[in-house]
Amino acid sequence: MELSELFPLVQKPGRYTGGEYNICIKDKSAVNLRFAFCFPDSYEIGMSNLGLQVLYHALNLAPDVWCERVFAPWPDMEGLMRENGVPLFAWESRDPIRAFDIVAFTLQYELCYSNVLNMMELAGIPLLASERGEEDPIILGGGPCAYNPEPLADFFDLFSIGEGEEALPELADLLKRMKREGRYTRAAFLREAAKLEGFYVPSLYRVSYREDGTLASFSPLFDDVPATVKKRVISDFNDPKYIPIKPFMPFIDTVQDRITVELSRGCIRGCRFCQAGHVTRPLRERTPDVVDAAARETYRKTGYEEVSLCCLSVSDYSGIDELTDRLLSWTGERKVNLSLPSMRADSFTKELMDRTSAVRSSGLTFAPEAGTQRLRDAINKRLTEEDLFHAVDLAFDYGKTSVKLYFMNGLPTETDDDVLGIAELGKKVIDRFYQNPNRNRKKPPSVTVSVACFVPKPFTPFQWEGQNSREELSRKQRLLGESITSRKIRYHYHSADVSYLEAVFARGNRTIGRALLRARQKGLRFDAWDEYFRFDDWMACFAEEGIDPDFFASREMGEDELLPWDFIDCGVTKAHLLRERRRAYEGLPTRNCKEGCSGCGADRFGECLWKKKTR
Amino acid sequence: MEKENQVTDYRYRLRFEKTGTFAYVSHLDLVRTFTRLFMRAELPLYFSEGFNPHPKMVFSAPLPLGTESKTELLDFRTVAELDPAGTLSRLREVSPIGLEIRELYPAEGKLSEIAFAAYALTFFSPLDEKQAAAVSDFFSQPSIPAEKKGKDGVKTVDIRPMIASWELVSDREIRALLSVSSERFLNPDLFSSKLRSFLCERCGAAPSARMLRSAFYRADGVSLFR
Ligand code: SF4
Repeated sequence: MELSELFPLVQKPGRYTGGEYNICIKDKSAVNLRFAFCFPDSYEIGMSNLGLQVLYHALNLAPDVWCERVFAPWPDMEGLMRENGVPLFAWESRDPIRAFDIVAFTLQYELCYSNVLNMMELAGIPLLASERGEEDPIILGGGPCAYNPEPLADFFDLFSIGEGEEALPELADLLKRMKREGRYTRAAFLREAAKLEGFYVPSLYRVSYREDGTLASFSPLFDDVPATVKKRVISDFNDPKYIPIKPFMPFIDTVQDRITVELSRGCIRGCRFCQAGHVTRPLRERTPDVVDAAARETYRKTGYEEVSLCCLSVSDYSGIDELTDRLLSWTGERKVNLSLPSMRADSFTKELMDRTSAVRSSGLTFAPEAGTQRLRDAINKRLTEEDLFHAVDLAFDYGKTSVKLYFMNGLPTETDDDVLGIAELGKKVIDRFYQNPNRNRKKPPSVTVSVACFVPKPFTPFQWEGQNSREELSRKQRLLGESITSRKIRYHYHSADVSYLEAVFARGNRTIGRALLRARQKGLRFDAWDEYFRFDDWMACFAEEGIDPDFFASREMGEDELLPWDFIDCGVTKAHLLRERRRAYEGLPTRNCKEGCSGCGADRFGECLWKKKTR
Repeated sequence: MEKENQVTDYRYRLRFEKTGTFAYVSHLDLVRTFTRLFMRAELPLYFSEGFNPHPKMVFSAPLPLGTESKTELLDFRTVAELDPAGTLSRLREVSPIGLEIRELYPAEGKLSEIAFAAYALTFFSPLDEKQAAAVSDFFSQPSIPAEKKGKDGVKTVDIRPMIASWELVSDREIRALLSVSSERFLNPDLFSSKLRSFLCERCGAAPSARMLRSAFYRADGVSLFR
């Protein structure tokens, strides 16, 4: 059966039809390398991912490489594909990806792992790297979760660690060259690839374990394979070549469908639970010139009605006034909105609010993360209550009535007082509303308190911490729920089960792979979607393999223990992380990088903006 | 100030085709697609005033998802006069595949005057004599009750009066003129599935078929809308 015959039979054919504006179509006969870039979640989520746009653009710069998109078919489509023997295909050409040279998966969150395996199965590609033959594609992983690739080590041929704009084209070049010279075998290619900076080939490393299950050793099998894999950082973040100014545009509604330009990489703050803030260092900014030119060009190529500036903390960007001036000089007359999604309450100004539509469109969102100053200091979230009040006052002045506050439960050193502090903070925000003389008098205020569960992540000062047990997290969630009495506060919390599984994968080692294989046999997938998440089945997978998931999620890891991800150098040193962990226990925040460099070590990977400026 | 800029108001009409996978772009998504396309082509669009300015667009009757069309119409407004030929070629340069803009001209009359649409129903394999005879019988029925899903649940409507004319042009193709006014809208999918199930009942089978919309007419039969 033809793929197109399935379109009328599925819920949302627009997910699969392809043909979106600005996609890259190439002449197959003029192409030497076929690259499938797989996003292991729904089309709507994948199409909203900036990383996909960036790497699609970077790879397709080479005329003889054709990078295409692949998404996880939604279960209705998956069922039809299996029934009719239609293999997983690439969205541009509709060719089965099994015949591609490289099939890459971007690993944005742990809960997509089951989708990765399902997609490989749908493609007809053997799941285990050791079972793949010369005719099978090379399976490549990358993205944030590749900072601990070990749970997926059995399934992937190699991983790209760090930024991919230069690394992936280099890998493609190597493969093309070896095929052209007739030197290509999987083994020979992987051996060569392991020598490229930023690539990790799991099959070239031997792991041994102690009796207690911790790692005894982790070492390369050959002398020419590096013992430490250094992440990649692109040579010049200001080089406009890597900005995707011709982004593909979905026809159907997706999560993010607008012009998005990255302002900076790295974060000056160093919140102690945050992986992104650490692994994306050193700190780099694009000049307002480069950003504005990219936004204009993208507008010409898309006609989008909104420009969104993206980085970990927009208001920390040093050129924000100049940039917004420039952007506003052309966006207004074209009815293009400007939005700044990641604003921090402590640098939230009336100026910024006047300039952007972040406020106009919906309510405001702030992330105090913890309910008391003590705990905020411990996690290095230096936002004070006054900062928050200042920000919500501004919002209420503006006639806004709804504010969203993000928190986390289960943070290291958290006590019940900290949990109760969340409810109090919510209440105080409501009080601020009624004290505000300029408040909106037509609508009552509404504060949404959204509480996630802390998940210890590699390459953070909290990487050693055990996660609260699921029972403890649920108890805290109940405690908080009971202490919220105001009807004007809406309370949401994340599932402790989901966060537990995230922690298992985030800090797992290679043995986790066996459970993932079981999960495939049990048909688990789309774990990030409530309607498909089956926690008990996951627990059965671990039990059947004799794996204790608590060992990875709840156990406090030793500071002298060899951690599964220790072989990666992400820039920030272990010594820095340890120092930060100590300070957390002493309740001491750390200055941000604008105030002074704290010697995290990331500048070894390239010039660090604030290290330079504060020296 | 802006208001003054926008006082002059020109109305244009586009005729476009919707074919291939582009037929899966829903009516709602089409609005977004055209807004962006117009902005790419730098058309001096007229925007509504107010909090959330948006261009004013009026489309001809919606198509069911997946149905192709050789004639879809779109009326839009600009704040400056356009050079139709130049604008048309600019628009075509920035159109997605499957969206073929064929004509651009000053709009006359209103799209709400459209009463009928012409469709071609093409069968993937030829009809045999018995099936062809059954086609005649289908249209000769004094009434054709069909279940129509609406805002307030499923109700039964007689679709026969909404079929203005029909013709079996070959053993593979039927052409029909169906009512598409806003008061009496016959969904072409409903029409073809009614016809095919009638053939199935009579002859035991009906070949698969696809619908294609080809033209629009006013109530007086004038094809104002090329
Ligand atoms: S090197 Fe210094 S300034 Fe740069 S990110 Fe690390 S701590 Fe901050």
